[in-house]
Amino acid sequence: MKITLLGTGVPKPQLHRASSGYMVEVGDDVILFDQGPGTYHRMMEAGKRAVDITHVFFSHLHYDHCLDYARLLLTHWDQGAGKVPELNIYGPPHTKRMTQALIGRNGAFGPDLEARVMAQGSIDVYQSRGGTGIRKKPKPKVAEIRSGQTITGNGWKVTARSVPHVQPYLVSYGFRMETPEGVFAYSGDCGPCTAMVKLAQDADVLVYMCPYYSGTERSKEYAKGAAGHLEIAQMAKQAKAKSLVVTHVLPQIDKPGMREKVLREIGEIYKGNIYYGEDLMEIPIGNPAPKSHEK
Amino acid sequence: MKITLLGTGTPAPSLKRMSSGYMVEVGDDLILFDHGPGAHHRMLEAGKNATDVTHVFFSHLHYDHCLDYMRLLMTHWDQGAGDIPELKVYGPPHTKRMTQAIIGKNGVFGPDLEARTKHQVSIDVYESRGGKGQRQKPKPEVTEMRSGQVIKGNGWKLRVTSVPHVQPYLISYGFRLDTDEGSFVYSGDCGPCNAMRKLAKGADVMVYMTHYLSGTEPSKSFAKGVAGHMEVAEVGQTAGVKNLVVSHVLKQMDEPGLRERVLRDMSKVYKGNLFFGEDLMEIPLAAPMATDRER
Repeated sequence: MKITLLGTGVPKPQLHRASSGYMVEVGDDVILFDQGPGTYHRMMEAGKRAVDITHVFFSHLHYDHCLDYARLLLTHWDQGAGKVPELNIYGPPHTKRMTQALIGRNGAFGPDLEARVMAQGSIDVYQSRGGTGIRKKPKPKVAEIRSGQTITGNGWKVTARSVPHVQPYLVSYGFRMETPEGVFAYSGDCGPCTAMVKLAQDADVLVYMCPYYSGTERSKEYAKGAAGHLEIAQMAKQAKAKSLVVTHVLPQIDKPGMREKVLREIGEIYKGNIYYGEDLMEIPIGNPAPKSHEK
Repeated sequence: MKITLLGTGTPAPSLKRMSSGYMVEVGDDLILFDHGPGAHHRMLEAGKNATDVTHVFFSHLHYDHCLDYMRLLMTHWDQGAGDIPELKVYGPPHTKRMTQAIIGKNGVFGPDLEARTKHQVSIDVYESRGGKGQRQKPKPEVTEMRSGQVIKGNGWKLRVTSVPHVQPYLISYGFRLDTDEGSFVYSGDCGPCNAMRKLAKGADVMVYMTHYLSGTEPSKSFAKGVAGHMEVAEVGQTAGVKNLVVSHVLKQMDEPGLRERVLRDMSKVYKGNLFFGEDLMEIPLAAPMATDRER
């Protein structure tokens, strides 16, 4: 089991932090949790291609969590040339309609797909990639999940629970993934809540959104749907998570001195391992251990 | 007037070459020609943000030419916070429907936009970015163009012409941008054609899709809609173009030795200045000049 952070930023465009995205490799499966703008680029930098992806889980459908889905979907299909299995997609309500709005007949890429399966020039390209027979349009397997639902894969199990973010406009989920090697929990976007404490119970790795410095929230409403650094410290402590990853950070806390202050204050509450997330960081299962000086 | 190549690749995912995208700065306007997957990342690397972009022209709606439109549209709106003019978007038929499929009520980001304009969490964020009053959804000014149409901007004039690619499935355009400082011509995707020979007459810079090594085309039909290196050389020479940019290159010819062979072959036919395009390359309007040895 290998956990890679693909995007640790916010909607604000930044070259050093793509929007939200995480990648977990378990056995032969490569599973993405959210795929915000820029995370596809990071995925390539991590050495993976669209055709390597088997499953995608969306926590919620804010664009900073799902915008690169279009790139994944089209590239997986186009480069796959009918030789790789269809993508397995899991998300909240609207995930099916979103997929149709991308690849349906009247969708954003409807005419593209029509052209790529019908025009001789494109059929030539398809065949040069090893495609055989009549070219078919993409048919990802899309499942809209409910809170409490468990999805079982080959050597892994994912449980989704509803978490508070911007309801009723968008349904948001947190996830817990169990494998024989360890447990990974991901908050999606949410404020402090018992649902996440349950999902993260004794988890080896908990990735929790930490956009802001607690106390600087603009409204009470904001603090219900988004977590500050002290809130995630409490969540991780209650859940007894072994490692906590700080991510989805605003520039507000992502600067010299502030970062250290945030870590010190989290450390006063939460006694496990803390990781200040960066794009392309790998999070180990188990404790971080120093190598010898010369390595 | 400044011309920057943002994406010089094909649909094949590559960290070196993003899919098609070009950026031209004229006066206060920042104009994008096509915005394929990865082009937005390059734009950030070139130091520009979504909110800096004023106009977008789509040559055709294959996803490798328009996929990052979503990222541009959503980020321009979200970061702009109602403070900047709406994007002006020009493209072939389906551009309006594509836009609706992305941001319409039932579109990909319909629920995202509903949530971001209605939920207090998002209104807080909007106000912290300087947004005032009731938050409005994006309303880009989308124009579907006809062949022969002329579009006038502040200090520039753009001419559109239909070019052969994968008709009847997608309509494809070539463009010529004239300014006081010089002229820029872009083929979009097309085979050799009189429309481009005419459009590019005496142009300072022409970017032409130079997809493959002439003679290796898989079919006659393919070669009508896609240009090889010798075809591009002929069009450049016939039109009397000063600077010719090789772009949209397959890996087939993007190899040591082959690249040099392409340039040598093309030089036998085309007598102007050749530029083998790379992402983030700036193309001068004048002839390239050797600088002093020590610089």
